[in-house]
Amino acid sequence: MRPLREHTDSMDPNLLAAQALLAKVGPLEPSADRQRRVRLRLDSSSRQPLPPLLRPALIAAVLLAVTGAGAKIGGVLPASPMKAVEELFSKPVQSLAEPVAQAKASTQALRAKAVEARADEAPQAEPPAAGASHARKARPAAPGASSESAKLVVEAMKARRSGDSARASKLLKEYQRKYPEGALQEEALALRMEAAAGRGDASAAKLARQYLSRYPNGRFRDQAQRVLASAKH
Amino acid sequence: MNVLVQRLVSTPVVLSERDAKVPTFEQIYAAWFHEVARWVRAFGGLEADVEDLTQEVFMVVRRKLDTFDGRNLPGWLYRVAQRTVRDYRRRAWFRRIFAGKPAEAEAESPSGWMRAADPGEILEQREAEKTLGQILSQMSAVRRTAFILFEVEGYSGEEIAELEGIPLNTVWTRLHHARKDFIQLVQKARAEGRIS
Repeated sequence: MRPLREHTDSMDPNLLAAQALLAKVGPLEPSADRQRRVRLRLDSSSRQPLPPLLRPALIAAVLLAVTGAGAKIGGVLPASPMKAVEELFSKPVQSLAEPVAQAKASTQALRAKAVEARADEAPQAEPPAAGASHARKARPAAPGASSESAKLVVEAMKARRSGDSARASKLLKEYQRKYPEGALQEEALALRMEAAAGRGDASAAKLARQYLSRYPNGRFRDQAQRVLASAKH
Repeated sequence: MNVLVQRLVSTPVVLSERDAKVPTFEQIYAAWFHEVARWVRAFGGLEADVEDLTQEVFMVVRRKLDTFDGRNLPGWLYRVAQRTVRDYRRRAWFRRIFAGKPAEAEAESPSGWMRAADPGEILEQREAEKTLGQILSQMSAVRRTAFILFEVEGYSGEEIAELEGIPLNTVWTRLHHARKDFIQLVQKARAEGRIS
């Protein structure tokens, strides 16, 4: 059997589209940087699997969310129960005793608050569905935020392709400002630097310095260094 | 001196047959990192964060190395990677359902497996990967893995059979069906205007 991309004898438009799509994605390239980065993270991480004793905390949090009691004890659960559970996951575990103690304390606090909430609110308790919808409202999720950010970058790409590098820079700057945690921050900065250098704009050197300070081992380090070198001449 | 420490100090170190066969974690990491990253990409369906997942796999490898019998290291690593990615995908699903995290946000996370090149090209490539990832995510895990290993990563059918521990004919059958599914999904994406 030959790989799809080697089937050159067909004129089927779907097969051609499939081949075009596959042609844009190559095999994973070996990367010493990636290997080093993962190694560093492995060495610095002492995260352990969830010890069995932590499971009651997880179950309690999920149950509270489902019954709606979680919504009534906003002081304990920050935004959603899963967030609290995720926090448990994300904290580096130095020793087993500490997280177990934390989890026990957290479980006890949750239970105590739940009992308190039920006792206080019992006469005028809202139906669970209302509580659940309240919990949903409290979630920080911003639907469509990522597609909005992608749109900005795609628009910038279109502007760049049509030769309007000023508009591309403006859109990328907007992306950087609106989505400081966006997945394409590095690319946006590199593209702005590239566009400024293409226009002969003096800000290119500033952007290159900014890039190198933010991403000293970034993928566009060479380009940034070249921009800096040409700015000096 | 503590009795336990005394016993440990006085016990002669004899390497068992297993210890002699099992490489150290350092050796495994150095020799297999890239292969594991490729498998992870195939299991994760292109959209997953290869670095995060590869890190998780090696955390499991480090933890479970003591239980490895020393036979068929690639097969063992492959299965560890498979399970780790499967669990990761389940957790991601759970997070999406219960924490309201949009699926797209995960798809957008940087995979960090592209070559340094023109940033514009990289963005275009990311768009293509995203579309391809969305199409592949609609395929069954078994077919998707075989498809990515063969069509994207360039593994031969024989290599896939060895890694999966299945007969070669089964690999060809999976690939045949995967290809059929893929072309149908591409047709659908074209009809919806998602790709040209």
